[in-house]
Amino acid sequence: MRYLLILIMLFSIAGGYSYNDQLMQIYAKIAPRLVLMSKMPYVLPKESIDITILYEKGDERAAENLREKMLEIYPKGLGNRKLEIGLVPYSMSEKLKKVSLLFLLEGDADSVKAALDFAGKEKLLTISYNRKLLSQGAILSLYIGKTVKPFLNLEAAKRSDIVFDSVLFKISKIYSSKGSQ
Amino acid sequence: MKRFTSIRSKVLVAVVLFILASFGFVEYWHTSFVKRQFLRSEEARNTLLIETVTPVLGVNMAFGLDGANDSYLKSVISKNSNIISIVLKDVDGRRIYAYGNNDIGKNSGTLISRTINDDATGTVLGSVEIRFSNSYYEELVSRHEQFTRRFFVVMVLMLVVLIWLLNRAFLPMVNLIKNVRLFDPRKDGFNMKRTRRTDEVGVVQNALVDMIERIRDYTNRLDSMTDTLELKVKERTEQLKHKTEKLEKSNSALAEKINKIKEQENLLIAQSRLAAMGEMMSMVAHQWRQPLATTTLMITDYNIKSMLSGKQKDERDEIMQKISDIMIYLSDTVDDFQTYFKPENKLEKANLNEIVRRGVNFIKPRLERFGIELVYTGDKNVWVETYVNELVQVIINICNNAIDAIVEAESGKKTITIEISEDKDCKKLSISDTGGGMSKEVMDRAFEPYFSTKGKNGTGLGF
Repeated sequence: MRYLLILIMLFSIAGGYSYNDQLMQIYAKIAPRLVLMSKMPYVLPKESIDITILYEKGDERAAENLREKMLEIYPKGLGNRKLEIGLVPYSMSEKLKKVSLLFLLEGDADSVKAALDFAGKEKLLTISYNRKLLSQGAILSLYIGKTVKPFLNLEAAKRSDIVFDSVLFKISKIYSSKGSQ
Repeated sequence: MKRFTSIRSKVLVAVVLFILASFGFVEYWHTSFVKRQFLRSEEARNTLLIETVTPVLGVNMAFGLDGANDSYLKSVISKNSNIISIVLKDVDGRRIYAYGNNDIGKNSGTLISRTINDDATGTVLGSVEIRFSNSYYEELVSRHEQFTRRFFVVMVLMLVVLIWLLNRAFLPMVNLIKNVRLFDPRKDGFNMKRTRRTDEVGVVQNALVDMIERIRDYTNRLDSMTDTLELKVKERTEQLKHKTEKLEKSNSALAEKINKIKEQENLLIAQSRLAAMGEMMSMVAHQWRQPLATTTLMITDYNIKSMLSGKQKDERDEIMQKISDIMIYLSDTVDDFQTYFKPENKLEKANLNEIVRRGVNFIKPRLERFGIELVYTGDKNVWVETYVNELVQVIINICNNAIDAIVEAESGKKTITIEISEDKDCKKLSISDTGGGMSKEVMDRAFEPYFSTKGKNGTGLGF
């Protein structure tokens, strides 16, 4: 009880969200690959995969952790492309640039909405840590049931003119606004 | 061998061979085709499955979603009953997932393995091995073989029935052949009758029955005609025989008549010639007799006057006497000629010696000319009753022939011998010469009319 109180106190001091390390590891592993398994209006740079991680100010450490994991998993990049991973707080989302993937960590509703509007407008691929963001227009997330699967919002992908590799459909759970399948 | 070469045997063998060959070929082709196609489709299906599974497994492995692979492979196994085993290994060969015992089915089924690659990094993530069962294929082949066996049995039964039916269909033809072979138009061995069948056998049978009836009819007619013809030939032969005999008889009679006519003609000719000669000789004798009588009277008158004057007989008297004798001889000769050429057809009694003298008198000049001696011997007082002139002519002709033979033979001794003799029953006049005689052939034909050994100089009418 004492440790629980101390933990609550620490979170409240930091003002951040909690992230599962294993899930972060999975996200770090699949996020760059999802870029290569999709075709989108955004033209990838020839030699890099550019990813932007959006985070709340209190989650800076988590965002940095995620970037490190990605670079750790793919130290030489992926498919002859280097990983260029940028960290942008939601508060500076108006300064967002077009990238191949926007990784949305937890954030307040307005910030997240603004980021998703930008992504929808620029037809960018988005992946959210919180699968609930799929209902707001995020395209990818992770489904955690008996097994962990990619969670795919085909409606949002269709709106952004993004097409995925057929294999992804086989391994993914498809999200629907009427209820996931 | 005969039986085998019959049309029926050929048809049966051909049908059986054709059906067996067709069945065998179709079955072989069908079986091999089905097996090949099935194996191909199985291979394609298995390949398709593993090609579908491998990328999914790869992505899951790349994503680190091993649990997803487990559920995915279970789903695959539940949907594909022909999967015996699945082994999923990581890059180090460790088994990440295993279903079934992969070692048990080593000798059965088909094992297909694939390497799982990470397309994004180009690295090998692991491998998957799936052993597929061939039981479905084996079951299918087994079912097919079972069907083939049953079908073959049915085929054999059908063939047996077919052969039986064909045999039955050919039976009338066989009977037909037997009857035709035994057929004899003069016997009742052919027992077939017209049939109501309208197939080829029926048509052939009816045609044969009609033909055989016609053959019988023609045979009967032929036999009847043969009998009639034989009778006619027999009759005609008899008639011909009679006619030939008659003809031969009439021919021989005709030949005799012709010969008689010829003889009569010759006789007539000879007689007419003799008559003409006789008339001529009568005129000659009449003309000669007057001067001969006058001359003889004048010599007689001279002799009487000489005797009355009493003068001695001198040489003149002797000459006159000789002239008188010659005149008498000449007068007799004229008489002989006159008598000779005078036809006389009545028998008269005459001295054979006188007859010979008259004949010889005619040939005397020829005897003297060729220096032939005439020896005349025998009884001088033989009397015969004959046709004198004809016998004189016979003697003249024989003597002339004797002269010709002696002249032709040119023999040293030239003699004609005439001999007269008389027995109790026979009076014989024989004439022989030294001319060599006649050959048997000439002797046999000597009295044939117109036969002559003198060529153009002979008439063949002398004898």
